[in-house]
Parts: sequence; C-alpha cells; structure tokens
Amino acid sequence: MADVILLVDRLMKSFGGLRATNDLSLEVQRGECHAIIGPNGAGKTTFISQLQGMLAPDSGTITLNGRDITGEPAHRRARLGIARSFQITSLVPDFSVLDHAALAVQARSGHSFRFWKNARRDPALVAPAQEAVETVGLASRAKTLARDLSHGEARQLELAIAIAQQPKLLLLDEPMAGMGRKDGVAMTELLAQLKKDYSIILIEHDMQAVFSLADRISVLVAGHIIKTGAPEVIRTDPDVRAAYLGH
Amino acid sequence: MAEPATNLSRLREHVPTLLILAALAATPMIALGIGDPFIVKVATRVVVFAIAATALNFVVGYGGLVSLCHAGFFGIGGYVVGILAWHDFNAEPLWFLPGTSDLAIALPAAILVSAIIAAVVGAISLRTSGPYFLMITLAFNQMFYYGAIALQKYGGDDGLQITSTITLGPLDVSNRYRFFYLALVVLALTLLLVGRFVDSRFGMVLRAASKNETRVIAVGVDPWLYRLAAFVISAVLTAVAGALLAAGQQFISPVDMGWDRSGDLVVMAVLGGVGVVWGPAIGAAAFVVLELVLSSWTTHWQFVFGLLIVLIVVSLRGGLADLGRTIFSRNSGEATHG
Repeated sequence: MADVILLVDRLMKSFGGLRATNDLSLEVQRGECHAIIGPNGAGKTTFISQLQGMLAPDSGTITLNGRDITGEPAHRRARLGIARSFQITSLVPDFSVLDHAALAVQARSGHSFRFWKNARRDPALVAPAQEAVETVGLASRAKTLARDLSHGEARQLELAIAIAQQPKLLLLDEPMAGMGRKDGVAMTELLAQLKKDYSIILIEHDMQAVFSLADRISVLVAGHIIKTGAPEVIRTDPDVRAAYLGH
Repeated sequence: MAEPATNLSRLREHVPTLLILAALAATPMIALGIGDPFIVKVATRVVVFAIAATALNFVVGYGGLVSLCHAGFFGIGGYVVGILAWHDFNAEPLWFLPGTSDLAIALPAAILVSAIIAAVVGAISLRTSGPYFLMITLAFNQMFYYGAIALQKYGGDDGLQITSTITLGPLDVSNRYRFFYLALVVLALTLLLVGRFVDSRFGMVLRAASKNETRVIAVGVDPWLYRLAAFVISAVLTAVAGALLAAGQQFISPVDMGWDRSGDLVVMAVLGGVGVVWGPAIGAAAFVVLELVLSSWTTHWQFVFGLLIVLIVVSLRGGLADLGRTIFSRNSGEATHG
C-alpha cells in the first residue's frame, strides 16, 4: 500500500446508455509495468482518457501519489507527472521530431511567456529534447518534420514526447498499433528499457509483448476489471480465458 | 552549433525583410525624382496596412485564429488619436484629461485602450473556435463600427477630421516624408517583434496549439492564455497601424473599420503568405497598389482584383512569399517554418 503511485476507485463513465467505465478500481505500484488487456470495446481508451484528464468521469476518484486529481484538468495532470502516448498518433505536422520533444521539455520547465529568445536555439530545451529523441532511437530523424515520418517512427516520437515530459506515470495506449512485426519487436525492446525507469500503464493488443513486458496484468471487460494478477496467473485463469482469450 | 553555414542561413532568413524595408525606404526618393508626391502617400498607406497585416498574421498564420474584428482595433487606434487631437484643437478636456496632438502620448493611449478592449473581446471570443470564432469576432467588429458611427460629437458617419498639427514629442511629423519614415520605423519594429515572438517559447506553444491542441494540453500547457496574449498583442499592433493611418491622413472614419476592411486584412495576409512573418507586408503592398491601379483602369476593378487574388492564391500555395522563398531559400536546405 505504501508505494502505490496510482489509485483508481470505483470509476464510472457512461455515454448515453452505454457504461464505458463501470465501477472500475485499480491500483498501480510505483515502478511496475501494469498492462490492461481486454476485448475491443472494453473501454480501455476511455479509461486512459479519464486518467489523462481529457474525459471527466461521472463518479469515482483518481489518486496520483496520494493526491486526488479527479477534478484536475489534463494540462495540470501532465504537470503533476502523467504522460500519455496516443493510440492514434497526435503530432504537429510541421514541427520536427526535435521540436516535439522540445515542446514537452518547455512545458515542464515553467510557463512559456518568454517572447524573445529563439526556442529552437535554446540549449536548455534542445539538449534534453535531443536526449529523449536518442532514447527512442530517432536521433537520425531529429530534424525531420512529423508529416514526413513513417508510421513506426511517429509511434516512436509519441514515446519520445512522453519521456521528454519526465513523467512519474506513463500511459501507453497501444504503442504498437499498426506496426509491422519488425517495428513491433524493436518497440518491445524499447519498452523493456523504459520500464526500468518509469511506472507504466500499458494498453496493447500484441499479447506476446504484453506477457513479456508486464509485471501485472488487469483484464478489462465491459468497463470493469474482472481480474488482476501476474502474467502467468492471468494466462491460466479460467474466467479470463472465457471472457477474453476466447477458449 | 554555431557553424558558419548556420550563421549564413540565419542571415539569409532576414534578407526578405531587409529587402522589403529597403524598397519601401527608397520610395520617397523615387517620388522626389519624378516629382510625384502622391507616391509617398501610397507608400505610407502600404506601410500602415503592412503593419496591420503583419500583426493580424500573428494570430491567423501562427495562432490559427482567423479574426474578423481587426479592422475594429485598427479603427479604435485611429479614433484614439483623432479624439485626443479633437480635444486638443478645441481646448476641451476629455473628462479630466487634456487632449493632445502628440503621438508620443496618443500612441501609448491607443495601445492601452486597444489592449483593454482586446483582452475583453479575446477572453469572450476564445471560448469558441473555428467558424464560431469567425462569427463572434465579426459581431464584435460590427459593434465597434456602429459604435464609431454613434460618436456624433466626433463626426459620426462622416468621420473625424484632424485639424491640429500632429507631432511626435518635439518633432513635427505633419510633413509627408517625415511621417512616412516614422511609419516605416514602426513597420520595422513590428516585423522584428513578431519575428522574435513566433520563434520564441511563446511562439512554439502558439503554433503547436494551432495545429494540434490536444498535443499541447497533453504535454501540460493550457493554450488559452497564450492565445489570449497573442490576440491582445496582435490587436495592439493593429491599433498602432490605425493610429498612424489617422495621423497620416489627418482623418479617420467608420469606413476604416467596417467588417469588409477586416476581410481585406485577412486577404492581404493570405495573399502575401501566412507562413512567413514578412509575407503579409508583401500582400499589403500588392493589395494597395493593385486596388489603386485597377480602380483607375475600370470601375469594375473589384472583379479583376478578385480574379487575380484567386489566381495567385491557387498557383502559389504560400502566397506571394512563395515567389520570394523559392529565390531566397534555394540551396539553403533548411525546412521553412510553417
């Protein structure tokens, strides 16, 4: 209990008659990689959006590091240490790879009401941004505009931005979505590196990646977590198999 | 980082701006040379609208906010100068304040008034986006327009004539040439300021938010206050342009702040190119000169004018600046800022 970074308590969210998040409770330990799996439409992205603050829950609470953040808007949660990589890449088309990371560095280093100095030539922004870009393996593409990136590279950039925020908790929404086999393997290796330094909530359909990366797995079905446990427990759990793995 | 190549490309970035200013600075000599002082009048108009279009582009091109109330701010700047000069001439205090014909006082007053109004207008308008932002700023523009018409004391419909002599501190700037260079200095300052702003941390937030607000929020920045600040800065610079127009032509009228004039400013910016800071200045020059030449040609000049604008915008995606850019940034190998 002492080292819980994120505590979600009885979260509810409905869209019309649809209960997208239904009495969802979850506990994430500091330093763990916690995967959330579930069939399509289980409400995974809806849940992540509520954690990030883009969506407000109808009821329930979210506590980060012992602080209730349920009422905090998304931008303030980012400052408090939540970083999200989007399932559908969300980039600025005419910003370079480095610009994106620098923007994240800029965002965490106080307000941006600085009008005179050229941001692209500010070592205080460029150096940490460069580091984040190198971490995800995009160093050779640092000056490339986002619109010219391949799909895999755009996914890597999503991660670089999140890392540049120096978050306490990383929300990764299908980081491998739409990736080929080769890129997927590279991404898994990258995530294996990152999980040493960050607490992570990982949503992913690639089961091989999930079972190799996750310390614990929660299974989300119809907006409710039906089981949480170590990968080997989840793999053999009869309820999980029935609900999700389809056996 | 400071390789000679980067320094060179940094210098090259400023070439178009310097060329524009140099070309404008030369127009009075040409006017003197061929003995046609009317050219200076036109050049002054070009400079004044270049300031306004550059200011507008700060929110349109870099903030993604198409404002249709900038003619309103333009007119507010003009009316502040005109009203202060009226009170100076009639030796009648404005409430408890004495009037003045000194731009050293009138310009800061125009800045102050427009900043306060823009903060209110911006705070309300920026609650909306897209077409709604367009509509609400248009509505504000018409409020200002009819507000100016309602100023019966200051000429109402007919506009306000400035009958006193306009000065800048101890300097008499009623001289046409002197006034032109004053306006040109203001344009140079505007280009410098906006140029610094768009590449600063502030500018990066503004630009990123215009293309992808979700991303900016996700990294921890609420773009709202940045947009408001940009809106106020842009409005203030536009008001300065309006103040200069009023001082230069010794006249300001509601016509200068109609919604169609707001549209003209947007056209100038787009025509010149919203992707670069110096683009709208070229657009303003092209607009003012074309309007003049075509209207002396035919009474149906607006038809030809419209056709030309469509042709230019369609063939040069980045406006007239694209012409310049292909010339100036060739072989530079550096991506242009968007």
